Amino acid sequence: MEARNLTAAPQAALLALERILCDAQVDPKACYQCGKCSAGCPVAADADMTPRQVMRHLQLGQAEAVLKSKMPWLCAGCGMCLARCPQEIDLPSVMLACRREAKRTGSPAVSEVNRFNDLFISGVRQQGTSNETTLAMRYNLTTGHLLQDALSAPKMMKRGMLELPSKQTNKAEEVAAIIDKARAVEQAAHPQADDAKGGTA
Amino acid sequence: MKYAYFPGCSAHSTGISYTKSYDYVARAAGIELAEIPDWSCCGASAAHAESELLGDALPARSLALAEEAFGDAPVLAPCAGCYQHLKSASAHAQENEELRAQLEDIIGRPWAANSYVANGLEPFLPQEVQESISARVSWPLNGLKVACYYGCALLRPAEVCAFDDDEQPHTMEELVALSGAQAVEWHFKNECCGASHQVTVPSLGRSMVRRIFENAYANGADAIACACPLCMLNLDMREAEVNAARVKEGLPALDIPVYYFTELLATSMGANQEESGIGQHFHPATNPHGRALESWQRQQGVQKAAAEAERAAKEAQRKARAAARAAKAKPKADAEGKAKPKANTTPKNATPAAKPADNTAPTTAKGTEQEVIA
Repeated sequence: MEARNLTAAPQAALLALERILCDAQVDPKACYQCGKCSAGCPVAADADMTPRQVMRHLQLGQAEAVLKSKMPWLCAGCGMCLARCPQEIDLPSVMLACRREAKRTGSPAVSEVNRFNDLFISGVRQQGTSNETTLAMRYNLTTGHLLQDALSAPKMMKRGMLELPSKQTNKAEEVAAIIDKARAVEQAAHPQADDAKGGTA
Repeated sequence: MKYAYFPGCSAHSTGISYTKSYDYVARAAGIELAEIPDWSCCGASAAHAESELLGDALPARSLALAEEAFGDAPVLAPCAGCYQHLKSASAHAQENEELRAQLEDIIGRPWAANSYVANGLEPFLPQEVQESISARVSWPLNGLKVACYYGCALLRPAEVCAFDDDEQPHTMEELVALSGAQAVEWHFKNECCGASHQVTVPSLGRSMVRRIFENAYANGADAIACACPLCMLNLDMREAEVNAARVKEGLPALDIPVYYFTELLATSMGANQEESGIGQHFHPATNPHGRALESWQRQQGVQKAAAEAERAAKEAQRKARAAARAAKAKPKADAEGKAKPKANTTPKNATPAAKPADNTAPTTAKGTEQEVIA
């Protein structure tokens, strides 16, 4: 294989790589590319890159390729890769770190996954609990999949599986405060996140 | 045993039949569920995806409230997703004192993080609890073959969950067996149901549940048992779509209802549909006893046919040997006739004797064999 000069990699990519590895707290050199992660991964076949390839790119300092990949977004966080990794590399954390970095510096490769998660947290922030009905409706409206699963709604209603949104309570205020505070702490710990965003915007 | 009970957001919506059947079985088994006052969402995978800290902070609030109300009583989260997030937050705080203090500050409440976090299966595992359940089983599901499905969140991360083997789990099998049902071995016990991908990346999500159904079917399961409202929703709600896709490909539609393990236990204890919740499924699931009987009869048919076929084969062998002896005694007399073109080495009496073996191997055997293979 051709030798790679990491110092020649663009500065932005190196910073991105550093942020991903720091966030995930993983040393990519620990991976010896056995591929057990990818053999057990339930979504790898549908992704553009296997978990093993994600690790390889990180070893080679190619953060860009990973940030454009769908793999981190298709990762369901099932943990099979970590459970079977002989080096106990926390791949689910790597995938999440890649998602966060992709979100900071560009656009998520699978926008639906990103949208769903954001809507989930904003729902919890408003009510203190998650209301599946509201979440599904908001998701459909904001992603344009207007009628997705709409045919199931009457059945679910009949079976008592739909809960109406509850009124705002004290609990909701407290949960909102927790979310805001956790975000503020994160922001203070990783101020460079904003710089990155400012740089690309 | 008293548990600080964390119902989770799906307890009164999509997971309604889990809540009903769980209450029923817990009451019968002498397990007290004391709801954590003012509990809030665990944040699910979305909080964890946003940041590790948020993923720990949201469960921490409910865990702190549990501590305030019930001290060190174990916390019970029947939903596997809630369990995983409460358990992880608790483990992170126990490992890292600095983080625990930081989380206390974020939630604005004291939190020692001492309580054990239990999943839905654990309260029923002690010997004496299993015995008290067994004693209440009045209408067992003998004959029903069940594939126990754990999914991811009950088993992984393995060092956090650690209540069962993460590759070859067996605890749900133990509990399901109390209902009289028979657990089958299969290969997708610990595979992922796709979680929110059923909504966000539907094509990928459907292929994930399809693999689970097809493996359960290939291993002869009449039903799937689970212990998570999201696994249940993803399997039960999507089975019709899996079947539509199969039929399009010329494959038979599957008829595998999905149950919470507590629904099977409650039903075997005599709970009616309203109490067990089995009337609130997408795929028809209201008649587990009928299915059990059908499955038992099918198994009996297979066994009977196999025994009969074996007997017929032995009989044929015996007759063939007798014929051979007779043929040896007077070889010239029988040398000519119809036997010649059929078989040179076998004496002619062997053919008619062997024939009944094929005919009497009854047609039912063929039918059931096909089913088993399919």
